[in-house]
Amino acid sequence: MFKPINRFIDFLNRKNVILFMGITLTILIIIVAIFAPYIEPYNPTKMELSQKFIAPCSKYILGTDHLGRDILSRIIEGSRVSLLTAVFVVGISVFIGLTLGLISGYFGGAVDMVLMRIVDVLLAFPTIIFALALSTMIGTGQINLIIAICCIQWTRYARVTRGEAVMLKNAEYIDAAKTIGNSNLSIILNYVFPNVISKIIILASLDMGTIILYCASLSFLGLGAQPPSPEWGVMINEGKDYIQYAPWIAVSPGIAIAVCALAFNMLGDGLRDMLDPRMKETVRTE
Amino acid sequence: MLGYLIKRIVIVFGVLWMVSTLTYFTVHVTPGDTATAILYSIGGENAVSEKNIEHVRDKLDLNRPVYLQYFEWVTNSFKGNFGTSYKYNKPVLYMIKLRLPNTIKLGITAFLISVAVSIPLGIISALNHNRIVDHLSRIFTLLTSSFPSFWIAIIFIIFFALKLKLLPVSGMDSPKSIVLPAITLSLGMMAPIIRMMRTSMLDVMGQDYIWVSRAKGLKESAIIWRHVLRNAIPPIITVLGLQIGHILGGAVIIENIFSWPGVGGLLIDAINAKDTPMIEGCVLVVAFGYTFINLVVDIIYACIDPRLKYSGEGK
Amino acid sequence: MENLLEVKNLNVSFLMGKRKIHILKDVSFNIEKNEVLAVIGETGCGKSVTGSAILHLLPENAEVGGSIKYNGIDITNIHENEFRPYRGTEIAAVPQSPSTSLDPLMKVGKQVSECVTDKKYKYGEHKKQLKESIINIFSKLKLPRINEIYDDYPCELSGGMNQRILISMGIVTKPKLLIVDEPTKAIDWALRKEVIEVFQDLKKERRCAMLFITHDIAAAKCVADRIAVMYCGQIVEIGYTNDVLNNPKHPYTKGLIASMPSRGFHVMEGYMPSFADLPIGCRFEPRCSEKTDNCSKYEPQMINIKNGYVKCFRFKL
Repeated sequence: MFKPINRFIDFLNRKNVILFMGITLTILIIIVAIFAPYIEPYNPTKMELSQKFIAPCSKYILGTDHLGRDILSRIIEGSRVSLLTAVFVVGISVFIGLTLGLISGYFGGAVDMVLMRIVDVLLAFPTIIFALALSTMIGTGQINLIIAICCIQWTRYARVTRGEAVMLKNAEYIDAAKTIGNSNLSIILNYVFPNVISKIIILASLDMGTIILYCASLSFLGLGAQPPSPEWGVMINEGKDYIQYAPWIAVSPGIAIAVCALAFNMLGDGLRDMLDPRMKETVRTE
Repeated sequence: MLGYLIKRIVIVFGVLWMVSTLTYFTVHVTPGDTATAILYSIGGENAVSEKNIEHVRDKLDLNRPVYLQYFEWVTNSFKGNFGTSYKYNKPVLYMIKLRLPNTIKLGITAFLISVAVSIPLGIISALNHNRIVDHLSRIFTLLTSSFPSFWIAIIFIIFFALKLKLLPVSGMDSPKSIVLPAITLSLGMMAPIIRMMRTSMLDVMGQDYIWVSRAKGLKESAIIWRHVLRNAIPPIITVLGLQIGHILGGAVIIENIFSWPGVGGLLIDAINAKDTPMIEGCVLVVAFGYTFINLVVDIIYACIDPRLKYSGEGK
Repeated sequence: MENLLEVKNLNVSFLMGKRKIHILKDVSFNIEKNEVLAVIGETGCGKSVTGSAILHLLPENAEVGGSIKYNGIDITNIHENEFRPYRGTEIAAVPQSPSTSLDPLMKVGKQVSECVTDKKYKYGEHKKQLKESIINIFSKLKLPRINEIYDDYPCELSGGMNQRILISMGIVTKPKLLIVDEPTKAIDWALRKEVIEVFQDLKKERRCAMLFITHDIAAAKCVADRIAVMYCGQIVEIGYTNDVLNNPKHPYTKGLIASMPSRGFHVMEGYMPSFADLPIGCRFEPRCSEKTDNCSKYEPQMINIKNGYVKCFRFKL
């Protein structure tokens, strides 16, 4: 009786199912986001007040909201907002973090000191709190949201990169590369960078999910995208007033967020399993 | 050891000073005119007039140079004097003192729930490495880290409060009120703890000294308790400290949804009302608290790991 | 004399994914009471796996075949619960790499005393007596500051001191068989002599049998009664220490001895083959300087000699 189950577990162990599912889901979401206008059954921003609060049915698969807009179309349109935001945040933060981390770790000294203290200071703020505080200065909106999250997020990559760079800096093969006359820049690019990048890729793909959640949370609080936008957090915020009699307005965008975050979490998790040798079983022969 | 601690504490104070400076310049120095903002937040558009603006500037010392204002503000904020709330017209500290215990109550409950669930779950999945329990717990961590907390909160409200009428929707009138917000808040912070506990255990179980303790003929339970867990715990403590940040950030959202009268709700209200001193007060209290908790975490870490005594002092 | 340990046709393989990788092939040897058998060979030839197999401490993905008899009792397939009492009390181990073999968060004294206190122990020693006996062992091992060292953490001691802590963990229970894994690996040359003396004393005074795993032929020469030469998961030659070292029969043994600094430092050419890709015939054939046509086609059989055997086509009685 347990044989099929055991075989299934064996299958899970051997093949990186999580990674496979993560990649598939991610590609699916990206396709949906790219071809959004062609997939949407209705215009996501068109209000049809006569059609408001329609429960999910065959005509409106996920129902309509308080302004008579089709929720499915809005969710499909919203995937573009969420994905773009997350890609921008992660891209910008990785770029800043990687550059500063490499400089700080490789050269050390005063630059390193100053940079690490800045990181310490920024890490004293929980991300959401800092984004809230910053929004009072730069105002709300999706671009400002990206700026606010990047302000904290880059520190993660800077720390990891710096740690690796410090470790590598003292490695003997780096010394050897120096002795044969490589410039600092070429050592960083040819020796340090390739060693750091795999870790950063794992971290970044794991963070995509977190960033999607952060953005949705801040939009939900009214800081990111503003109401007519089909951003998922905004949609849940609009729907939360009607949970008594129209729960579908708030429920389905949440599932969209979760699927999106899940895709990237599985991708990151799978990548880590594949690339992080520490998690692999080792055979002790000597 | 002592040198290490003193160094840590000095760094923490430096960080706190920088934190207040950063807060001051992001919140206090807003692009618009502060006096106009205050008047707007109190009385709407009608209250904004030349005469009123002059009056407010005079009263709040806004005419003095920025660096003087900044210096005074930082010294005051270290004393706990964050100024007077524009909206409530009461000292910020008074308002925060009123609300902080609620946030602490919610935070500690959520923290305890997540620790009580995650640590055993992490241990179980490490001990059953690559078996069905391990996979189930992995699915659990993937799911809890993927669903947004505010959405889970809404689902909980729909089910437990509106449909089943088991628990109150919001507020903190009955002791049952804390159940939903605390569970929601704790769910979001479980995944990293479970994952870290599992990784840390597996890491330790692969170490040579575990092989040695088996070779000594120790019982499996003794090996797990005495050697594996003791060595697996230190990295967990660091993660727990970092998760406090998650609680503090998450509390803002959760308090908002469940109308829990904590600092998070105060902060959101203050942002909506452009109540600058209140925003600064809330942000600083959270950042100070978070920094101090992580200082305590570092101290605990130094106490349980004898290796740090040597490496910490050297560097 | 009576055999304390009898290992016959021991086969160990590891399951890596779907593939099975054979590490030990038909390893046979025995250890008499109060006898020291040294196992020498290159890094990665399966010496430590042999030790782990005797202690039932191979990783989960290992498969063990053949038979291991201890004191006449077959212990190859007995259940973990039945075997545990053997570990530590009857068969103890001195692990290699002192830097990783001690729990970094436990005082070394406790780690040594743990070997005794954790079992329903026939010694019935009182805590204080136990501490005294451990300190006594420490002083025999010439550890400095023996009284304070008991409450030190491993990170506070040097590698050589930690190595001696590991040795005291092995002997504190007065086992009948001690599996010593590379005791001289982490130790500098000044201390090496002392550590070897410790084992010589151990053999003389405690009358303790040993499986002495090492790649240090000079150390093996001082301690061992007999030597087994291991290559690529097989014992290629086994015999009395003097016979093996002065009159080596297998080409690999000859090569090993010639590579010793005191014998001219003539290091053998080539590398040991990977366990995933073994030659069909004799495993040493690709590197052998005396190979014949048969060597690449068939596996050489065991040829018994006085108190041992050789596996080579070239060898004739």
